[in-house]
This record gives sequence, C-alpha cells and structure tokens, in this order.
Amino acid sequence: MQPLRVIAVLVLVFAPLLSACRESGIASDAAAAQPEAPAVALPNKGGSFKFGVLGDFGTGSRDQYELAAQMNALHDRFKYSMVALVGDNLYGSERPQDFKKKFEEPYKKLLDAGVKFYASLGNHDAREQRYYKPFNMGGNLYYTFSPRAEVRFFALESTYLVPEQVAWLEKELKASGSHWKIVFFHHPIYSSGERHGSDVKLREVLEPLFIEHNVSVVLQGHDHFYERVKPQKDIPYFVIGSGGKLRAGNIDRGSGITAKGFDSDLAFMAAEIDGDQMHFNVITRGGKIIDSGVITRRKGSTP
Amino acid sequence: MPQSGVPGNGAPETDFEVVRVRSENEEIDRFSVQSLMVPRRTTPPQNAAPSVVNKERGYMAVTGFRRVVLCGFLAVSLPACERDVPAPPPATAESAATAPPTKRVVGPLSEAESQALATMNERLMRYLIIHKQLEQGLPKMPAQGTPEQIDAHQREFEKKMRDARKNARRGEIFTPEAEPVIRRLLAAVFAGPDGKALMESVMDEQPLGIKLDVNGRYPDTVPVSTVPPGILQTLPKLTEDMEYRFVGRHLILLDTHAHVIADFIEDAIPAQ
Repeated sequence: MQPLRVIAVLVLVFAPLLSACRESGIASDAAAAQPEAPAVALPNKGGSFKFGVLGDFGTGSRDQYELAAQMNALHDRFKYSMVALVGDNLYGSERPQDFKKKFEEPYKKLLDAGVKFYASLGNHDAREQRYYKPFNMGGNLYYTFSPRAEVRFFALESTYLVPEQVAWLEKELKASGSHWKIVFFHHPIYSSGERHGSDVKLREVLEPLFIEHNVSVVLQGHDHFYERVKPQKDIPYFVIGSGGKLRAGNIDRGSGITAKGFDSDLAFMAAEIDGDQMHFNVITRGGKIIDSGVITRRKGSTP
Repeated sequence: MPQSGVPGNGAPETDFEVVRVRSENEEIDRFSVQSLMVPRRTTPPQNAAPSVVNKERGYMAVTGFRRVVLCGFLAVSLPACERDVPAPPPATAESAATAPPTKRVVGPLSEAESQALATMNERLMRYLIIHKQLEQGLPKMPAQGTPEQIDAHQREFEKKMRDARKNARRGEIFTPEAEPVIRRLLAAVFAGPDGKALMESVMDEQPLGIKLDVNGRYPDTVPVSTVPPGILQTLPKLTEDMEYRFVGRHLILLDTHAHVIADFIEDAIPAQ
C-alpha cells in the first residue's frame, strides 16, 4: 500500500473517534494547539450583525482555552463584532493575574481583533468587574447598548434585582424602538438544570416585562450546559453556561421545556441577525455544531 | 432627631461625641467620623502643643482652626450623605406582597418599627460618611480600568475601611431595635406560598458554617447569594455602595466597594 493511501485510511479511521472523544469531554492536546476551523452554517452575509454568546467561562482551565481557540478560529471566517457574556466571568480569585489568565489570554486574538465583550455579572463575579475596561460595562451593574440601529441589548444584574433595576428595565424596554431587543443575564428563568434550574421568582418579575415590551431573545447562564428552551409565551430562551465549566449530564430530560439540550462538552453560540431573522450555531470545543436554527423576531407592537 | 449613638437607648456606646453642625437653615446632629474624631473631653492637656496629636493618649487637640475645618467638612459631607441615603421607611399597613415589582414597600410597619428602621438608617448614614470620606482620599476609579487599578483601589479601600472601623461590633447598623424588624419582614416573605422557592434561590451555592466577622473581608471563595426581588422589595433601601446578601442563613450588609461586611444578622432566614 502506498504511503498516501495509508495516511488516508488512518485519517478516515481515526477522525470519527477523535470527534467522539471531544464530544464526550475528552479533549486532545491537538485541539488546543490547532483547532479545526468550526463549520459555519450561518448565512454569513456582509452587512449583517454578527455576535457571540459565552457564559460561565472564567476558570483558566485547559477546557476554557480549547473553547476559546474555537471562538478565535471561527472569527477568521465569521467576523463577529461582539460577545455577550452571561455571567460568571471569573471564578475564584480576581487578582490582576486572574484577569489575564481567565480572560485576556484565552480571548487575546479576539480582543486584538477589536471584538468587544459586554459582560453581565454572575454570582461568582465581584462587583468591581464593572470597571474593567474590556467588559464594557461603563461602571454599571446593569446597562443597555445598541451596536446597530435595529438591535439593542439589555444586560441585567440578576443576583440583585432591586425594584429600581426593574423600573429601569421597564423604562428602557418601553423606550426602545429597536426591532431586536435582546436581554442577557446570569440566572435562568427557564432552564432544565438539575443543579439550578429555573428561577421562578425572577421569572415572575421579568417575564411580564419581556412579553409586554416585545423582547426578541433571552440569553442566560448559570447552569453549566447548553439548552435551547422551547419558546415560552412566544419568547425563545437559551441557557449558554457552557463556556468553561461543564456540568455533564445535568439536563433534566423530563423537564418538558427543552427544545435542544447538550451537556457533554463546552460550547458557545455564534449568532447573526439579518433583517427579521436571527440565525444561530452552537459550537463545541471540537468545532462541531451541536445546534443551529433561525428565530424570526417577534413583531408585537414594535414596527 | 434622636441621638441614637448615645448610651441608654439600646445602641452600642461609641467613642464619638455628637457634633452639632448648622448647615444653612437646618441643624443636623451627627456623629463625627473616626478620622476626624472629636474627643469627649475637648480641653487639651496642659502640656500638649496646640494642634498636634498627643500620641500617648491618642488625643487630638481641637483648636479653633481645626473646629473650622471639621465643621466645614461635616457641613459639606453630611448634607451630601443625606442626599444619598434614602429616607427611612414610614409606618404603613401595606406590604410588598401586593406591590408591583417596581415598588419597594417596607411593611407592614408600626410607628415603633418605623422608628427602629430610622435609627438603622441613621447608623447607615454614619457608616457612609466614613466610606465616602475614605473613598474621596483614594485615586478616582476610572469607569474603564485595568485589573491592576481595580485591585489596588479595592484593597486599599478595604484596608482603610477596616482600619477606620477596627472597633466595630455587630449591631452597630442592624441595631438591637432594627434587627427584630428585619427578621420579621424576612419571616413574612419566607412564610408565603413561595417560601420554598425563595429558600432554594437564596441558598443556591451557599456554603453553611462560614464564620462571619463584622468589619471582615467578604470571603473571596464564597459566591454572592442571589437576593430575590421579593426580599429586596421589603427591606429598607440602601445606597449603591451597600447590598444585602446572605451567607448561609445569615443576612449581611456588604460594602461592595470595600468588600467588607459592615454588619450582619445571624440566622436571619427562619428555619424551615
């Protein structure tokens, strides 16, 4: 057998095995060093708004770095301009070296490329993170920003939802004429996590506002896996707490709210808004797309 | 205004003297901050030089000039603090259970309970005077800082705050009169139909058996608890610098800038 044929046979035999190992949480060193370029199944159109979503990531572990390598690799082919962080941005100590090890180094390529990260705070995050320049919080615990005229994000502080924050959110949602209103925060109000699950007290307060003010998509974290929740009262919810600290096998398969669940590897979301549609891919450490789809924006009273 | 720091009304005795400052047309009674402490005996020892600190007795002579500086500082800082500190909750028959989530209702509260929380509010203001004064002495934290700036600022602030309150004791803010009111308000929330869900939300990732110290650093390894909206609706409003949090079943008053536990109530969450 010629050497080239031998190599081809070996690749064909071992590639699926390697892929299976990655999906089950067993990463190879090669994945960290030279990640396969993740597939891009989005429209990837020029002029569309492209962004990423990442949560519960700041461990400084090899797993986190491997997923970050996939985010970096994706950016080569899918030029997303920002990443929404759904909290637990740094676990444990928050000394200067931790900011470097748990955030600046793994995402250096993205930061150097000008990708902006917008953070919300989780229960593991010190309040001072709001002053950290790369998190773009402007010194605020909750805030809103509009990267495009038709898109507005609302970052909440879900560990401490004082009445003043609720009043602020109501006012801002009401005032926004953006077609896409995307809310992100840490504690999920819909989740099938056996460890945490849905925070029903938070839901009682937030959900009526989301419905009344025509929120398009809700991005959450806290449970360490990926879940796309079946639309609840016409609103799609995602749990994307799979950025650095997997809780394998933690999705309650009997919750009845899961449209797609993935709890066997780390993952992040890449999304693209093009007109009335938001396309999304969820990509693992191995570069595999484990969920994808299209959301059509709720029109409600917003023109 | 009651002089709540004066022994005899249930508040802990302090080393401070009530300073009376006339600010515009209003007279304010407040305790001076420790770093500008006015000793009870204002006559300097005979051998003390004017305007110097007698290190042996830790005694600062208060000259006419110092009085002017002190009064000037307090005249500026106290009204500023008053503007920042929310008004204490009034007596009311209402409760947060029936209020919209955008509205805070500390109640129901009797007149006596309202007065107890007013005292707590006053103690909080006194804490904030120290907090603000120390914070003003630090380089201003930029809204977009580096980790080095953030860390240095926070740790320096913590050190100064802990030094300034090194004799702080439990009950200085959650006063003996206010503590049972806070306990009752919390008990009312947890006794409701959602008590179990609330408890799960609060206790999520909360370790038990943590030893707390007033004026101690909030343990870095303990994630902050969720404080559900229904609880925040029924507790007296704080300034942005301060937060209610739970550590296990204890309610703490956390100085979020200094990372210091300003005060706490043990086992504030009723046993289920």
